[in-house]
Amino acid sequence: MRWPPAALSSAEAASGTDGSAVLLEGIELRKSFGPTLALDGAGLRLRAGEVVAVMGPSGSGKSTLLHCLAGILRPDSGRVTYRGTELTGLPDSSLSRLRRTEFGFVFQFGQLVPELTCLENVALPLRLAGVRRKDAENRATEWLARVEVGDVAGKRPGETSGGQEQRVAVARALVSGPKVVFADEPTGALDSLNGERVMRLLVDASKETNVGVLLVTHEPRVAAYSDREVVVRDGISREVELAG
Amino acid sequence: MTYPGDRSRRTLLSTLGRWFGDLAIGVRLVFGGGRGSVVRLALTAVGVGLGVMVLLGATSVPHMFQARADRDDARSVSATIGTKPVHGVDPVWVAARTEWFQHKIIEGSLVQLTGPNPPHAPGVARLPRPGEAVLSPALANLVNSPEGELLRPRFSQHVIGTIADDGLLGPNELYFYVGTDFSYQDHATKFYKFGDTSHGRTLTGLEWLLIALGAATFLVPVAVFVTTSTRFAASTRDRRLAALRLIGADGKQVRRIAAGEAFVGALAGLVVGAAMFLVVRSLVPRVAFSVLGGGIPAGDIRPDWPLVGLIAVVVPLLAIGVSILSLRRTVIEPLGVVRNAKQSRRRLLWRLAPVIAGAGLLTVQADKFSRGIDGSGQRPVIVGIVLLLTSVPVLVPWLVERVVWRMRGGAPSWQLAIRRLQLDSGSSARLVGGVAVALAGVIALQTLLTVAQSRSAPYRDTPTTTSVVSWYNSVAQSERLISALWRVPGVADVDAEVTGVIENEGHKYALTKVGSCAQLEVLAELDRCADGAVYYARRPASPHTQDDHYFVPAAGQHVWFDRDADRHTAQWTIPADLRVAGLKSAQDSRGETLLVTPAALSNAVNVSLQVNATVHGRTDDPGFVERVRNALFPFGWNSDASDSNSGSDSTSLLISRVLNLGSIITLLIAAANLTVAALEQIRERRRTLAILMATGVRRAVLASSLLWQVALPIAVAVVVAVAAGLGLATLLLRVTETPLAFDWATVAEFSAAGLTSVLVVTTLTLPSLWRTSGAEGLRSE
Amino acid sequence: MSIGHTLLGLLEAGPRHGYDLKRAYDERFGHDKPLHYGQVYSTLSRLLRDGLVEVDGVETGDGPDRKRYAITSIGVTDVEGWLATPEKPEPYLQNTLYAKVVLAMLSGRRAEMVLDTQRAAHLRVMRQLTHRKSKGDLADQLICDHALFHLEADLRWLELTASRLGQLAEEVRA
Ligand SMILES: Nc1ncnc2c1ncn2[C@@H]1O[C@H](COP(=O)(O)OP(=O)(O)OP(=O)(O)O)[C@@H](O)[C@H]1O
Ligand SMILES: [Mg+2]
Repeated sequence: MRWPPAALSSAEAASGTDGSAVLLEGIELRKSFGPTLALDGAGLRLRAGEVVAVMGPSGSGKSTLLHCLAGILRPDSGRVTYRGTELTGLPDSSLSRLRRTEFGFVFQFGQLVPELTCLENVALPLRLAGVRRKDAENRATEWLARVEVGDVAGKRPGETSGGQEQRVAVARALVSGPKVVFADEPTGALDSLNGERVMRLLVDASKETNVGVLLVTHEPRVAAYSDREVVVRDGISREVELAG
Repeated sequence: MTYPGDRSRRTLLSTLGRWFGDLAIGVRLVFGGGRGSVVRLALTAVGVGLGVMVLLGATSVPHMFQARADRDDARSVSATIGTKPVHGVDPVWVAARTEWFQHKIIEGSLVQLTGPNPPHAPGVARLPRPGEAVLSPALANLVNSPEGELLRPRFSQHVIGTIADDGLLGPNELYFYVGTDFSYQDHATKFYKFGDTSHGRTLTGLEWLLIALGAATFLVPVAVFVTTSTRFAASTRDRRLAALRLIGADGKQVRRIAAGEAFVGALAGLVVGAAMFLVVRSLVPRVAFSVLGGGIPAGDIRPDWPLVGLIAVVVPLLAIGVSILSLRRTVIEPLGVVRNAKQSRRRLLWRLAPVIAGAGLLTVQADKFSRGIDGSGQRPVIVGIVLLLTSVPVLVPWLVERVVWRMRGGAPSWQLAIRRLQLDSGSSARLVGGVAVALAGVIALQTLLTVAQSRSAPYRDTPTTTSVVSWYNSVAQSERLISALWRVPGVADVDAEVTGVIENEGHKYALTKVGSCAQLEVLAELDRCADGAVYYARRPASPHTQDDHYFVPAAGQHVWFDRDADRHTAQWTIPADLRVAGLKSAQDSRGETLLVTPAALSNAVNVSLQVNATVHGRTDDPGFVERVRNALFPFGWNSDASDSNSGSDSTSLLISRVLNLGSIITLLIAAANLTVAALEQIRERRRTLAILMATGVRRAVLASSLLWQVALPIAVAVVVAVAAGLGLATLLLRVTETPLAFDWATVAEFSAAGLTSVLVVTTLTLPSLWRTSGAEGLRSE
Repeated sequence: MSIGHTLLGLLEAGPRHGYDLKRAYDERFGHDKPLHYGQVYSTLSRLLRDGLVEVDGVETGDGPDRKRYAITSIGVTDVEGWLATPEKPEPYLQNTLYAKVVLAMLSGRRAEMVLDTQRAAHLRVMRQLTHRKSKGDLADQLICDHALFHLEADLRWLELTASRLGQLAEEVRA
């Protein structure tokens, strides 16, 4: 007996009753790195205001799936649509603009620019989008305060603790008012309390401003903040249905 | 398509604003990161600055040579300019004179005043009267110093002043004005004015190539230095920019940000380069003591302002261009860059393009060029040289990658080095690229130089053999001079010959040889020789010469020695009993010679004969030639004595001096650039190294891994450089149709210098490694 | 923990005598509580009654029971359903969960299946707890945290068990 690969149909069934619009959808995504098949027909559907947890063992392709959905990696085959527009064929400049204006990111590693202060890091997406420095930094300051790390504004990432850095990253992901936030192990380096804080921030943003959050995590307690979970195993995604 | 938040209508102004914003982010990135970034910026600035300094220096070269030439002209005399009478000026008799002292050239003028208002000689307050001298400061010092002992007899005049800087090519030049009382003015000319217009000789094809290659050898590495310096910390930078890509900066934005970063580095480099240039400029007169015969006054080193402007534009453009071009991978696969994933392999094809194009150009150009130097052949040759040299830093990264691609295993240090090179061979290859290109150029240059020198090399003899030439002698003086030569301490043998040129009324010439019957009989069959006899000797079979410039002497003919225009009475009448004699051998290429015994000249006026002598010394004493010179001195300033090493064509001498100097400077700067680059590499790898140290890896292992990491690329680089250098030289020599001769010793020497410089530099940077890889290194990237 | 399902699962590997079944059960799941013969026979007769097992053959001899039992297709479906149904998330589930994972593996199914369904069920409860926590007072929060950590521990243990056994299975298959 084989592991059922009927990933999408179950996902569709699971969210079929939900009335809100589908923001982001990946269908039958395949991606390999040389001989490594990282994605083997994975898919996922994300709605506005929804937090979806992506779980699965290490190396199963979670990050790869997230990168494909965010337009960072181009899948070898399959489709990614954002608000009904297919991303797979878009030129790089459009993808970049999308990431700049519509998406926010909290990465698993290497996310803050070490040369810039925390404040400047948070202001960076705004400035890349052409917002004037003053305005960008004002908004960044607000966000730093909201994630309760206003005191590290002037420090560089190398001079903060891991938890502070992670919250700065969350602030940076949210500062530009994205529609989708991609968070890859956002609580990876944090203790329970700090992890909870980061998750609250993301969930609140999701509920208050109708942001779709795609959350990759190993931790069930973190996944418990999601509305539903998708399991990735050997490059195949699957949504588990429970009766009742 | 448009997305919400994408303002579809953007005005030009806001586009510009965004551009500016992106650039500003780039600038900000340079200055971020606290002390680390400042150090990195400083290293970049120094690296670029070294290049800028060289470029500024290069733009100063034309002015430097022009200023020298101008001063040289101003103090020279010219038959066309200076001989026209000037009202109120009492002309001065001037004869240019070159002295040699221990292989040093001492130039000057012998002057004889004719009145109280002589023309003005540059840098000289008052021209000397007989028994007086005006010396350059350096010459005055030399004469008064212990080393100048053997020179003192020649400059024992009363020194009435020193020559100011505007009368000298360089501050350390040896130059003099000596007042004499010419016994007769044959070899001097009356001048109303000092000054001449340049008449440098045209360059031979080989010399032209040497200069072109020299310039390319100098400038191509500079371009490489500038580009490697702007690529300092490239992998950190790439990761940083890739991270920006991930959060939504598009390719163009990342390029603009990178441009902003590169611009700051280049700008800092320009400033540092200008500062270094000023420092070097002020040091040059002190350092370049005897370079180019007399050193270089700081005032001569003046950059050419239009070219400086060009540098100020081109260097930042080059930096920006390279940093943008090198962003390819960051733009295409930012995720791989951020994750430090293995790169796709380098492709060979485009890297071969410069080699093929360069070699092709030089091959095709060979015929055209060798037919003569018209402007058409030159530009392609220069382009070919530049292309071939450029191919070195282009090929090295690919080759290094090929070499390490399949390697594995070994000792931990070896493994660390190999794996590092596999992940990022670019940094190391860039590190050695500058040295490699400099080396390639220098090897080509030295090969050409060897060939050129073997062509223009003077006749070589044992050092104690001195050739003497003395002009304007009477018969008696010739004899005295020859016997004076016999009296030189340490002399073993003197081989002397007295000759002369006579001229008839029609300004045609005939050669004469003066000697006793015994001496002349060696040359020809003389019939009943006695002192007073004159023979016209020619080869038995040869017909009378048809050459327009020569006449056949006849008995009773009026002739002149070195006839001067304003002398009307004949100096000598050929005796009536002129006999014909047969030459014994074809020693004399011209064959026809008037053989004269001394008594036949007894009625001649102002006889002017030339003495040619070869003086053999008994010992290897290098001072022997000086003693010969001093023995000749009492006879006046009309003799030259030279051993095999004195004298050489001054143009080719100048070229080879400049190029030798340039080779050394280029390699030195390459080494300086290398040091800076190596320091930067260590900084960039600091975190990894700190982690390894923290986990207890022994220093020796780290150190040897670093050495391997540099040694491998440099070995590849040396191979490429030698191949490129020899290939370039071969192609260039083909262009000039010169037979090929490799100077393997020099090639080995320079290669070894390149190799060891890298290893030494790496070793020297180790202390900085131990310092930076403390616990501090663990924390920050 | 359901002895019936466990026995069914063991029978999936092939027909067995009642005595063998008891021994197999004890070996794998009965470390602290071995089964009584009586429990085995009563369970088996219930399964026979429901048509989940059938008697495969009877051998003559002097044992108490010489019947060999085999699982029926209805029985297989029942096991499958059981494995696919998560346990109600509550503390100290390990016996049941462990049995499920082992049986899934023994029967050639993938252990992760049990894990994933169980995780879904756990997460559902954990979501409710998380929600309650965000609304409630400190006491509520602390109580919810306690439950959350326990549930998480279950899941993590299950995850680890699944991957350990998965590895083992791979080795067995290889
Ligand atoms: N750039 C790459 N080059 C080669 N292989 C890669 C690359 N990126 C990912 N992979 C491979 O693809 C597979 C999926 O990787 P991915 O990062 O998506 O895993 P993951 O589910 O995020 O794991 P984790 O939970 O450990 O982060 C892995 O086997 C990994 O080795
Ligand atoms: Mg991952």
